[in-house]
Amino acid sequence: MNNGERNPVQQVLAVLGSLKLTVALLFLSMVLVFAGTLAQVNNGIWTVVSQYFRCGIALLGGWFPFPGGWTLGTLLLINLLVSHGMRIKVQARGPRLLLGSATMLVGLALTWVVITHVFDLDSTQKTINPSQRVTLQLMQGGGAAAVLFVGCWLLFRRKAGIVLLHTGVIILMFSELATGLMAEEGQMSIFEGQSVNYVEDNRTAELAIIDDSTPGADDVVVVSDRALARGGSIRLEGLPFDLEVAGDKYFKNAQLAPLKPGEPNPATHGAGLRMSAQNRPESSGVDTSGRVDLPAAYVTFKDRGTNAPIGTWLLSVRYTIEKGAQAVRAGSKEYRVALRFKRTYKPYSVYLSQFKFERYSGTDTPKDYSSYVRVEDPERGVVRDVRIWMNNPLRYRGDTLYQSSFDAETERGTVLQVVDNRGWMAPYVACMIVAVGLIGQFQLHLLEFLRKRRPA
Amino acid sequence: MRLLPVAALLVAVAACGPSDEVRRYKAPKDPTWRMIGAIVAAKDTTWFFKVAAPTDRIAAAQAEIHSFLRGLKVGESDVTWTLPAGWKEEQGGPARVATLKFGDRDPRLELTVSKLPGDGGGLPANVNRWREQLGLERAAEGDIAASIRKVGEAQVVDFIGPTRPTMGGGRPMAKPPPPERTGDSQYDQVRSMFSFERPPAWRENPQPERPKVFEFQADGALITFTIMAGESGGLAANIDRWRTQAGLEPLGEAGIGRSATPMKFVGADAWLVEAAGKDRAILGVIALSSEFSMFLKLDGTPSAVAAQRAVFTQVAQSFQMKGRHE
Repeated sequence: MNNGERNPVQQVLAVLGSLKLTVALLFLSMVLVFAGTLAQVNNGIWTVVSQYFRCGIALLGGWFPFPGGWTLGTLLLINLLVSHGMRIKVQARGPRLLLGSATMLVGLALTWVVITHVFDLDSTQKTINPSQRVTLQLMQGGGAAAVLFVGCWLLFRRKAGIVLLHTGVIILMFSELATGLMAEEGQMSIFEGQSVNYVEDNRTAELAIIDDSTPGADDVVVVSDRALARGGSIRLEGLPFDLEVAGDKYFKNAQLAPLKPGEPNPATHGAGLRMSAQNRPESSGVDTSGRVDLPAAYVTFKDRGTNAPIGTWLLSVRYTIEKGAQAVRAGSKEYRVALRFKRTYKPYSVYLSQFKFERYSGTDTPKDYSSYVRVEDPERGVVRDVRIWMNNPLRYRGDTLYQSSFDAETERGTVLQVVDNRGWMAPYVACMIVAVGLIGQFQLHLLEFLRKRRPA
Repeated sequence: MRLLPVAALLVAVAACGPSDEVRRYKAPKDPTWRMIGAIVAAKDTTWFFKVAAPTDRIAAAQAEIHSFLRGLKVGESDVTWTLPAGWKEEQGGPARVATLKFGDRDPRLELTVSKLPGDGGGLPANVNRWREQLGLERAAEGDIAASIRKVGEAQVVDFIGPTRPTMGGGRPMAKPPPPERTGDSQYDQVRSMFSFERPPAWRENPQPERPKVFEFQADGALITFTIMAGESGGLAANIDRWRTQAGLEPLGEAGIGRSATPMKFVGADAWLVEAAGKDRAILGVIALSSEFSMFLKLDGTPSAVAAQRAVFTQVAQSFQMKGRHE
């Protein structure tokens, strides 16, 4: 069939499913990865991830428009589905078709169960050896993949492996999409004797305005760092004032320095009367020290009714970490304001009973870091003592809590990395599906080869 | 063709970020920290007793702490105490006289004891230092006086604030031990090469401008430690630089004899230099070598420099450099 005989729909599908498009998209992906890698010389890794890979359009070098990671991923997915739809036909008929379809459904259901059963893992009740855990998970993924392969063989015969391994690739692509859109990650910093029920994401900042006048709970309004970085006025619903950030007075990374005599100072209240914020380069992706950006901003609060300025404050994540929130008085009421790392509250709290940092005898070489914590979950009535140590995270209510760092000054505080990524199992399963698909395809070809040789 | 709507949806999702730019919610109250601090004046020294912990844990031990403070006895040159039953005493480091552990009732609770020469920077400065450690605003002298309670020989303050009172800040710090501050690891390495007593009343600026390595403020005085490559122009030129800053005439080579006194600094030959002008005074240590030069400088009004002189001298003597052999 030549182009002249195709209708417009077939022509479009032919382009979408062409191998040339696959090669072009893979080439563009390589260019994007290369450009994203170079961009990390000057930008933080998470800035590059969001501006190059988890976006529709990337601006290479800050100005050259280029398809972003999600655009390329979407096009590759379409290309894959269309090319398979056009080139691979179901070979089964009658009972074999029914049996193959049913087996595929069972395989997909098993895959879903293997990926999602980790949602409710509760390792406060039992501890599994990490190597056994990974082996078990790979075996579960391999089992689901084997069932899928049988279904594919019943339906597609000699191309079963090709269909299966590309199914694995599709799952891999969707898992990245799910991670990009839904995964949350942060840190829980706890001192011995302290209980914490929130995580802080040190890649993102937020301005919090806290009304702590009511007993029991605080009324909190938070403004994202994206809104602050854009500058201009921001309406704060439920508060008697709004805020404004001068366009060039939000710093993605800033250091604080004592205010010099005669130095221009936008601040009229609070810490800004004693110190100033100085812009610093963003921590780059090639920085091996693992530093994070500490944003700062000069924020003016304005009375809602009169639009008259209440005052301008220097707000800084560093100041918040070291000194806490600052006070803003509006009328007769006082609010606490703080630029802080973005918080996400959890339905459970973690109490640190003890942090242990053991060294090899007579040396400073670390031997073990352990956090002895108590998980308290009022909703579920859970109170359990758990040890979290290297390679032995705590899994609870969909979160994984890893031993990440500790307070070097006192060695009495721990930092737990808390990851809520419901799709974390998907890449393992996808890899097993790809592996089973490849092995299966080779076996099918081998069997076919052996069958052809037999008559001779 | 049926895939196109799906593709359009995915691209739309990809192009749109979350829109929750302003959110409002109810949140559990943050835990608070409580500090009970006591200042006791002896003959030539001032003693500091401090215990800080989450508010509820201090409340459980409050009576015991007050009972301990009430039992402090001021001697000729020091302060003595009687340990309550179950408490254990451990020797402190260079800046700490002792650490008193509360024993089995709260194994993690401890009361620290430290002392400084003279008035240790004065009562208001130290109380405000503690307030700042708790994340509270500095208070006026009148408010400070009103917040002090006499318990035996001790002047006691009791504050509750939102921040854990440590030097490093209100929470355990993951890497970056945010002392990022200076921007490159080589510079941080230089900082880590030196150890010295940090007087509690000195407030450190964690992000000093280069080439300063350390910077502190103390009641109107500025204390800096700077390292420069080479001899930095020589001793006479540096003395004249400080004299000019203090509003005095440069003296050239003659200034060495008139303004500088030989001393040892981190095991090397150094000079204690004084330049006291009408409105500004500088007291500093200069150590020069062909490789690098070190400057430890106390700068401020004459009264501020005079007030910090004893503490500054003690700090200068405590300076040590790792790997340096005398």
